[in-house]
Amino acid sequence: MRRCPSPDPRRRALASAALLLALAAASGCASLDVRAVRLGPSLAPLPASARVVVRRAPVSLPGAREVALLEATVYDGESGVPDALEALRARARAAGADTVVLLRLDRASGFVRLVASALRTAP
Amino acid sequence: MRQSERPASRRAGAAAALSALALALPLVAGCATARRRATVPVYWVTAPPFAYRSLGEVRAVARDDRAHLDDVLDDAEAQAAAMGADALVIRDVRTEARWVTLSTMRTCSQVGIGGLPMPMTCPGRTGALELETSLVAFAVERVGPRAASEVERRWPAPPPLQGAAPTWRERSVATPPWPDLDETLPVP
Repeated sequence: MRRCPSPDPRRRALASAALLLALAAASGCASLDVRAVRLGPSLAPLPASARVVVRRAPVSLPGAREVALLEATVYDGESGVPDALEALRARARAAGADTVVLLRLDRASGFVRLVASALRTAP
Repeated sequence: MRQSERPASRRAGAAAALSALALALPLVAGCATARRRATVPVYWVTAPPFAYRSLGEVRAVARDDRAHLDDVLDDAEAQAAAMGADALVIRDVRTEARWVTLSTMRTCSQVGIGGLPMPMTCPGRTGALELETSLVAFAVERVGPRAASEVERRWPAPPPLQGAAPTWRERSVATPPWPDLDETLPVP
C-alpha cells in the first residue's frame, strides 16, 4: 500500500502563513475601512451601552466640541451604509463623542465613503 | 531523524506564523488608525470659539487607491500653519473615484508547455479603483474687537464646492439623500 509522503515542513509553514493572511484579509478590513482623526486632547471613551446619536448636517449644537473627524469607506459593496454608520458610531464612542454628524457621502461603483464629525455635546 | 525534523518544522511554522502576523498587523492597524493632531485647531461642524477672519483659502488633494481624509488634512494643516493661522475651518471635502485601466490584456488560462505552466493572455481590461479626495478650507486668524466688522460668521455652512473634474468617469454624489436619521436608524 502506497503511503502519501508527509509534506515538506517549509510547505506546511507557507501554507499556514497563507492561511493566516487569508484570515486577516477576510476579517473585514478589506471591505470596510474606518479611520479617525482626533481633534484636540483625547477624551475618555464612552461605555458600549452609551447612546450615540447620528445626525446629518447642518446642525446647530451650541456648546458642542468636535472630538474627531471620521471616515468610513466600503470598498466592495458587500457591506453598505448601515454597516458604515454602525462603525462610525463605535468609533465615536471610543473617542468619547456622543453625536455623529454626517457631512458627506460619496458613492461610485466599487466604493462608498462617509465623512462625519464626532462631537461631544454633554459636558 | 524524525526527532530532528519535528523541531525544525515547528520552528518553520512559528517563523511563518510570526511573519504572517507581521504582515497582517499593518492591515488590521489600517482599519483602526487614530491619530493625535496638535498643529492647527480644526473646525468643521462648529465654529472657532473666537472672532476670526480669513487669511486665505487652503486646498489640498490626495489621489491614490485610498486617498484618506487624514492625508489631505495633514497637507491643509501644514499650509495653514505656514500662513500663521490660528485655526483651520473646513468648508468641504469630497471624494471621487475612477477606474484606471492598467492593461488591455488579462490572464485567462494556463497551458502546460514542456511541463511548465504558462499563462495565456487574451483581450480584456484589467484595472484598479483610483480615488481623489479634495479638501477646501479657510485658514483663519483670531481678531480683536476692533476688527469685529470683518469677522466672518461661518454657520450656516456655505454651499458645497462646485465644479468637479470633468474627466471623472463616475461622478461622486454629493448627497444628502438620507432620511431623517434620528427617526429611522436604530440607536443602540
